[in-house]
Parts: sequence; C-alpha cells; structure tokens
Amino acid sequence: MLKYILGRIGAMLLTIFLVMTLSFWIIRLMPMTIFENPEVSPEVQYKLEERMHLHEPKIVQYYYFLEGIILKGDFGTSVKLRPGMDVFDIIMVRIQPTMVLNFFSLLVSIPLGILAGTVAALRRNTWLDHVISFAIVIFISVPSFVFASLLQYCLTFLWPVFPTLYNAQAPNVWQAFRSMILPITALSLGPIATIARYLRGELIETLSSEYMLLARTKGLTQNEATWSHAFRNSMVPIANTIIPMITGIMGGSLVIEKLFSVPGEGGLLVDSIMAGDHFLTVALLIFYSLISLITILVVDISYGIIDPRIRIGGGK
Amino acid sequence: MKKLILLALVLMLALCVASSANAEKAFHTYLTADTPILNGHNSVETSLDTPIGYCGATLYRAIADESRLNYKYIGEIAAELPEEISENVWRIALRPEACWANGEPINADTVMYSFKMLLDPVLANQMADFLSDASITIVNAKEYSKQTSDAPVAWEDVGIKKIDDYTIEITTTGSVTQNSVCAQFTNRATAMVYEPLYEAGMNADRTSTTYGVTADQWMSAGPYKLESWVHDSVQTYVRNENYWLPEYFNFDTVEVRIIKEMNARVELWEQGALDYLSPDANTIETYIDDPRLVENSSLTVFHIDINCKNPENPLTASINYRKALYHAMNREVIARSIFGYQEPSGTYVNGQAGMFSGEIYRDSEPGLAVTARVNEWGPAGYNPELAREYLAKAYEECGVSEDTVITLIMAFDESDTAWKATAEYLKEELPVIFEGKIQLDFDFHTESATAYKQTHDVWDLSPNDWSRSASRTYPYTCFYYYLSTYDSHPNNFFDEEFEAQYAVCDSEEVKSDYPRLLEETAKLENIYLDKVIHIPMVQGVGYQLISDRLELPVDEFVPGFGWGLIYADIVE
Repeated sequence: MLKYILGRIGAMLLTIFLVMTLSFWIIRLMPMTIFENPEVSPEVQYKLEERMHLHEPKIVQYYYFLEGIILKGDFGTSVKLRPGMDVFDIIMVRIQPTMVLNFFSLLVSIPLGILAGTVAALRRNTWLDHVISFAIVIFISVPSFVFASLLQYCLTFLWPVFPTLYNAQAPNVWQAFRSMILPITALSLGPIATIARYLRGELIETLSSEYMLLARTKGLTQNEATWSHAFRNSMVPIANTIIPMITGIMGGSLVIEKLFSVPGEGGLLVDSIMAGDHFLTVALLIFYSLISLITILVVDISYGIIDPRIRIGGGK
Repeated sequence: MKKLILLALVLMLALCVASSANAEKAFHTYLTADTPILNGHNSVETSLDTPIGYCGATLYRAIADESRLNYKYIGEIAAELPEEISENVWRIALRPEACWANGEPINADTVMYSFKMLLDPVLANQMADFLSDASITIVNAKEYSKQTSDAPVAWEDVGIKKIDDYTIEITTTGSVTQNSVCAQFTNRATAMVYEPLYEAGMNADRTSTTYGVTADQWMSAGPYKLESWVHDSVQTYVRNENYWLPEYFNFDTVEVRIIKEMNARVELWEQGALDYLSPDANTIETYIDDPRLVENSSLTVFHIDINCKNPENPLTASINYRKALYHAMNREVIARSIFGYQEPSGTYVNGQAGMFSGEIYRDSEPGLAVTARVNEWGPAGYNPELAREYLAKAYEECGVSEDTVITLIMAFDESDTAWKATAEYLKEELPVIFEGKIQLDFDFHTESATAYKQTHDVWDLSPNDWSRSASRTYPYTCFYYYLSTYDSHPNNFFDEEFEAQYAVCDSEEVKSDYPRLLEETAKLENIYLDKVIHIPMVQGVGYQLISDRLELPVDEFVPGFGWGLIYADIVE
C-alpha cells in the first residue's frame, strides 16, 4: 500500500511540473504587453519589462521561472493586481473565504443530495420523484452563476432577507455566515443534484436486486432491508463522486465569488488573467491544479483501500 | 400611571432624538475594482485616487470656492499657495502642524524623500512622469528618473530643493501659472510616503518596495485614517484626529465597498446602502429621468484608428479614403443608442481639456469654431453624400476601378460590448452609405489593441479610448500619442504639418500664453480633421446618481473638481 501511495505522489509531482510548464508557456505566449498604459512612459515600461526578463528569449524566461520555484521556492511577485506583493502571500491571504465557501457548500450538498436521491428512489414514479428529478435536471443543466443572480435578485432585492454582498467586516460569526448563505446556496445546487441523481440511480438498481428479495424473505421489513443493504451498497460509488466534487465546486466559485464580492481565489484568477499578471496567474493555476491533484490522490488511495485490485504494482 | 407612561414615552423620544443627533455620519461608496496598492508611486490605477484622496496628504488640495460654482486650491501640507520668487523658481512653505496619523511630523525632509523616491531611476516608478512632467515640467526631473549609465543625472541637479525644514523650492523649465504648480502637487502620485515603512519594504537591490501593499505597510496622513482594508472587499476610513484641516470634512466614517458587478451596485443603491452610483450604458435608461442623476463630460473621446499600411487594401494610404470614413460615421446613433446616452463627437479634443488652465477648450472661441466647422459638414461630421464623394476621389487617386468592392477589417476585442455593437452597426451601414463598394469584416483579438497592431498588418479600423490627463492643463496634449516620436503610438499614420503644429503648441512661448495656446490647439485640431489622423466618434459622458441625503459642496459639476463628494455633508 505504501508503495502504491508513493507511486501516486510521484505521479502527482510529475503532473504538477507539467502543469507549471504548460501554464508558463500558455500565459507567456499570449500576445499581451504587461505594462501597456499610455500614461506610463515607454522608458519605464521597458525598465519594468527588463526586470522581469521579458526581453530575453522565452526559453531563458522559463529557466528563470523554474529556478525561482525549484531553487528558491519563489513563485514571483505580482505586477498588476498587487504590485510588489509575493504571489504566494496573495494566495494565502485569500484562501480562507474560498475554503469556507467551498467547505460549507460541500457540507450542505452531501446530506441534501443524499436525502433527495433517497426520497426520489424510494418514491419512484410518484409526483415527488418527478419533482425531484425535474429539479435535478434544472440544477445540473443551468450554471451556478445564473442561480446566483436569481437568488441575489429575489432574496436581497425583492425580499431583502440576506445581504447582497459578502461581509468581510462582519461584527460576528453569524453576520459573516449570513452573508455567505447565498453564495453557498448557489454553489450547492449543482452538487446536490449530482449526488441525488447518482444515488437515485444506484438505489433503484439495488432495490430491485435479488439480494434485496433475499433480505425480505429472511424476514426484514422494507425499511430495514433498504437501510441495511440497499442504502449502504449504493453509497460505495457515491463516496467516490463526492471527493472530486470539490474541484467542481471550486471551479464554480470562480464566478460566484465575483458576483458576491467574496475576496477569495476565484475572482483573483479571473482578474489576474484579464490584467496580464503572469506570475499570479501561473501561481493560481498551480494552486488549483494542486487542489485537484490532492483530491484525485485521495480518491485513488480510497479506491486502493476499497478494492486492492486497483493498486498499481501492489504486490501481485 | 398615565403620567408614568407619558414620562416613559418622553424619555424614549428624547433618547431617540439624542441618538439620531449623535448618529455617525457614514458615507457609503464603492469602487468597481480595488486599489492594487496604496503606494501612489507605483500604480497607474485611478482607483488609488479614493484612498489617497481620503487618507493621503499632498502639498495642495482643491476645495469648492465660496461661489459653489468653482474650486480653488488651498495648501494642505503647504502653508500657502506657491510663490514665484524669481523666474521659474517657486517657493513653497510647509505647515509646521502637518503630521502623519501617528503624530510624527511631515516636513521638508518628508517631501524631499517622497519626491526623490518617486523619481528614483532604479525603482522605475510608473507614476514618475506625474511629478516630473505634467502641469509643470520640473528641471531635470525627467532626465533624472529616466537616466541611463551613459548619461547620469545627479539628484542635486533636479529642480526640487530643500531650503529649510519647512520650505522647499521648485524650478520649472518654463513659465507656468500658480494654478499649474498647485495642480501638479494635488496628484495622488505626489502624496507623501512614510520613510520608515518605505525603506522597510525595500528589497536588497532597491528595485521595489512593498510600501502600501497592505494597510499595515502604509501610513495615513490625510483627513481620514485607513482603518481596515480587505482587498477586493472593503476599505474603511475613520477620521484622523491628528489632521490639521478638519473643518473641510464632514463624514465621520467612509466605507468603500468593492463591487464588481453592476447588478449588485444597483441593488445596493435601491436599498439605500450606497450614497453614489455611476450607472453604465445598460443601466442609464432606467435612471435617465431620475432627478438625482447628474452628468459631466469625461476625459475620453472614443475613436477609431485607421491603418494606412494594410497591404490588402488598395485605398489604405489615401487621405480621401480616410475622409470618406470620417463622414460615414453616424455618430448620433452610435453615441446615443449604442454607447448609451453619450455625446456624438466629430472632434477629438475632450470636454475636460483645459479645465486646469481656466477655460475649457471646447467652450472657448477657437474650440467652438472647430465644432462649428464639423457641424457644417453634418451632425457631428456625418454626411453620407460627402463620404461617397471622398470615396470616389480615393478610388480615382489610387487607380481602383469603380466596380471594385473593398472589404475593410475592423479589429476589436469582442468582450467590449459597445464597440462590438458599433462594429455590427457599421457592418450594416457602411455598404449602404458606399453603395456596396465598402464591406466590413471583423477580426477579434484577445490581446491589447496595441499588441495586436504591432503584430498584424491586415486590419483597417481599430477602436481606441486612449486619453491623456495632461490635456486638462494643455488641451493639445491629447494628440501626444499620435506623434511619430511616441514609441507606443497606436497608429501608423504620421503627418509633418500636424507634427510641426504640435511642436508650436508645445513651445514654452505658446504654453505660457493660454489664449494663444487655445488658438494654436484649434489649428492643430483642424489639421487633425483635414488629415483624419483617426476618426473621433463619441465624447464620453459620466453619469452619477447622488443620494438625496448628501449635501454637495458645489451646485453644478466643476471640471477638475467634480461634485466634491469628499467634502459633502450628510443631511438626513
């Protein structure tokens, strides 16, 4: 098992290196002048570009980039969004709101998704199942930012129940959390639908399996058989869809953060790309890739634990 | 019992009155993008005007005058207005009471350090030109900041000198007015920097400093103190008890929310959670009849650059072709309907040009004469008949047969909705005007327009919104980017007569004589129109909604001062 985990970590590091390289080249090959501004004299622009080695060949720039990260642990300094600030510090300062948003979104999504999926499966082909299934289709097919705008309009403008924007200076935890309810809700609808859809399908299949019939003939009630056998077995594939969902939610929060003025990583990535803040963009792409790779690693390891056949080179 | 209830009610009422009387005067405003950094030396973003306007201190400050129709300068760190003690030498006395928010004094050393760092050649600050060469040009300041190892310039040679602890002297390259000197030193770039933090944040090779990267690495000195700053979320200012001119400011606290989405801003405005809102092109229609809506001309004249070197366009070098395009633009439709209640403009000098010099060029006699010339052609220069005539001449001049159809390429950023709609409108309109001879096609670019133009030849039209803030003092400088001498020029069409006239405007003799400067600028603008250096389209108009609870310091928009929101009072 240890060998398997080390192998996965090695593969993860290799992937990170590839992501770093690809991010660097994609960003640097974009035809963009970083310091272009008619109010800044060309001489100053030249000096600033020179400082970033932008006049050197791209391959030399890549060398400086790798040298900074690998030898000095230096991801560079922001040049546009937070001039002079270390990009690592920028990411660290903004990680908390993003993490809170994503954590609570997942926290809400899992129980509600399981509840909706279970109810739909147990009440199959009733009006309740149809309502849940219809909601699932809507929540999956409509992007989260559409719901975000709708929620913002209805619950902050028409019926002002929640604050319009995230309150970074809330006097207490409740006020802070209250201002996050709408972004969390907007981010959760998609994952709730995903979990519900998976669980409904799995549960329906399990409920009609022969071992369920056996369980009933052994004298278990429908509820006992469902809870002890059907539900548990259906949860195994669901478990492995939940972890990668973190990546999906983080992707959704790119826009949601902007809509609700949440000072997190999502809005920062969009802004850094638009502003041509190369070092920051690359660092953020690495950050997002790292999160994705860690979740994939967790899934791989959990698969390895659940099913030993999956372990790569695990002592055949 | 009744008496007791009555007494209780009276007490409650008294408490309510007392609490409302003591209510904090909190001003709620917003920025559409946060300030990248609080160091005024190193960011060109205008969002920096807000924190530095409230929490920073400069030598001078513009305030509303007694007429409530104009503004005047007062010394902020300076004790009085600058005094010209000899030719081109201005003496500025400093207030002994000026100090930082922590109580430490601001004196001539502070000013010298701030200016020296701003111009530092190694730091290469992006805002250095705003001190060296804006309303006034300081002797050797530009040479010092842009020096190379081949031609070193010593700090001692720069026209900024400390005379004593509370007096400095500025030497300009030519004759300037007192107002020009004051204008230069109200700019955010010239706000004082706090030496201990500036130096603490300096890197080993002194090429950058972290001064102002966070609230902890910056020091307030203005009427307010930066109490907190959550980047991309909110800035909060509270009164600075150590500030020496508190009588000009009325808010107790100022909350600046960072709100990137227009919908969210509108919702907060409707809820009364914002005291100010600047509606965009899509929102303006909702508020166009709102009595709280006020408007003003902006610094920007949106225009279209023309490529004169497109190898695939046989008319590319023809001036008649340029004139044909100029007259084919229905600016009324584009400005009013597409850009959203903006002003059509057949001229290029903007509506704020000259406001720091006492008279706005567009309102002056020479400026009005140019406008009249344009309107003689048609509304804002639009005249399809004339456009066809010029195109026929261009065809003849370039030896192109009459039945040739030419497809122009308009290159623009697709995410710019106003220009995209304009391009689509022109795609329909130009073939109609030119009877099918001219067609329009698009090329979308994701990079900046300048980067696109540097790497592409096959394009004909490219939208642009560059503006130059120095034109507020010298109107002719808005043409600065269209000279062959400007390295990053957005066009490739240069004209000797135009450049010679620019040089006339730029001479010290003309700059020191404003009425003459206006006349020479009009000549320059006429040459610009004759040669169609580019196509002016829309004069930007700024719209603002200002809450009823605000009492403004001026009765109407004052160019160069605006509505003076920072000096407003809250009257519930």
